[in-house]
Amino acid sequence: MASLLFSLFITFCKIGLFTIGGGYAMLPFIQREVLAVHGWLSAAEIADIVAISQMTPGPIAINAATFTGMKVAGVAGACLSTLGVVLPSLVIASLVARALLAFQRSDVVKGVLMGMKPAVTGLIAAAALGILVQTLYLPAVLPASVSAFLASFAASVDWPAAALAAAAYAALSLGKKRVHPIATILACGAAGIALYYMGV
Amino acid sequence: MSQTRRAADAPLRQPVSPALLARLFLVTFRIGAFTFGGGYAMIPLMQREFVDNHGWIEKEEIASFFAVAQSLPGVIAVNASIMIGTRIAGFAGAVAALLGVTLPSLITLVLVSLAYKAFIANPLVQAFMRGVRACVVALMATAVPTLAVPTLTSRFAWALAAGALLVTLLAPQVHAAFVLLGAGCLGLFAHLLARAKEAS
Repeated sequence: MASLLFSLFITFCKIGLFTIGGGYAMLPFIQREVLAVHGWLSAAEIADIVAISQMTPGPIAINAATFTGMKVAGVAGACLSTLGVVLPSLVIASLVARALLAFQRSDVVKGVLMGMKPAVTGLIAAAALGILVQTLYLPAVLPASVSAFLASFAASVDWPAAALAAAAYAALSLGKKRVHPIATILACGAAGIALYYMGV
Repeated sequence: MSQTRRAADAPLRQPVSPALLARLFLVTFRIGAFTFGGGYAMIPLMQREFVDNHGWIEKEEIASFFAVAQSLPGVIAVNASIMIGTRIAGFAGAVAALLGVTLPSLITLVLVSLAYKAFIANPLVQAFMRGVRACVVALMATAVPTLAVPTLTSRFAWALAAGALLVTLLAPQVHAAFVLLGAGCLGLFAHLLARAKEAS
């Protein structure tokens, strides 16, 4: 048992240390380690992790670590796997943050950040577009051509969800008294349940 | 805005008290508990809490942290929390923020993994998540202008943001870390060039 816990911890340390880019970019590496190398989870359980991650809060890698640890060695396993996946970050990110703060007036840091900050805005705009399409556009089959796309567009959009997103955007950003994101998330979840009961 | 906003030359950190650490833990715990849809979805919540509600950090500074957090190994949201925690209260702040952002996901997954098949298939959970996902679309949409205002301050910055957006949309296989690294190099080059011109 102790060696199993140790092995979970080390494996997830490795995952935390060698994957860059977070999110779904970490999945192939997680899959290789827990499925091919250690055989802790089946392919079906890996697919379940993705489904669970979409329905539970938090980053997908943390969810995967906790789920794997829990399956293999219970709560102790869950805690050690999760500790493993965040420990490299604690060391690296806190050192880098210190270095950034110490050298924030140096030309190198200023220059690099001058390039990175606009780029991160572009990346987040891309992520926002990706989430928008993924969430609101649900075609039954992928359209083969532009005309097929145009013909099926109206039928493939989740219009009630789109209306909800528009209402949420207005609540979050318009007016003097903007609604807090958490209140908006809960209200939208409740609206989702209401739509379900109304059969929309 | 609270009185904790600092002038450019003021000390970087505020005095670290147990109360500050507890607040930091609670705020990151709340962010961790309400982030659905992966690390990117955490960015608008972090902006709202750290910049608008608590005034712990400037808009522009948080953009640098998001950019660097994505270029480091590990989970983006965890890296960003650790860096912001370090900035606010040193290493103790990093640990408080790390615990806060990780624990909600750990606790939820431990509970959900006990009966995850039933959880995934539950129509009410699915209906709730349909609403939540619509809200995540809106949240991400609000994050883009919030980041764009402090970061897109020159034509060069707009070009970098557009470049990062296009590369991510047209060539999704290119790693975000490489996009940021490339943008960082361009930024450094432009900054040093401007410096050399100034000097001559």
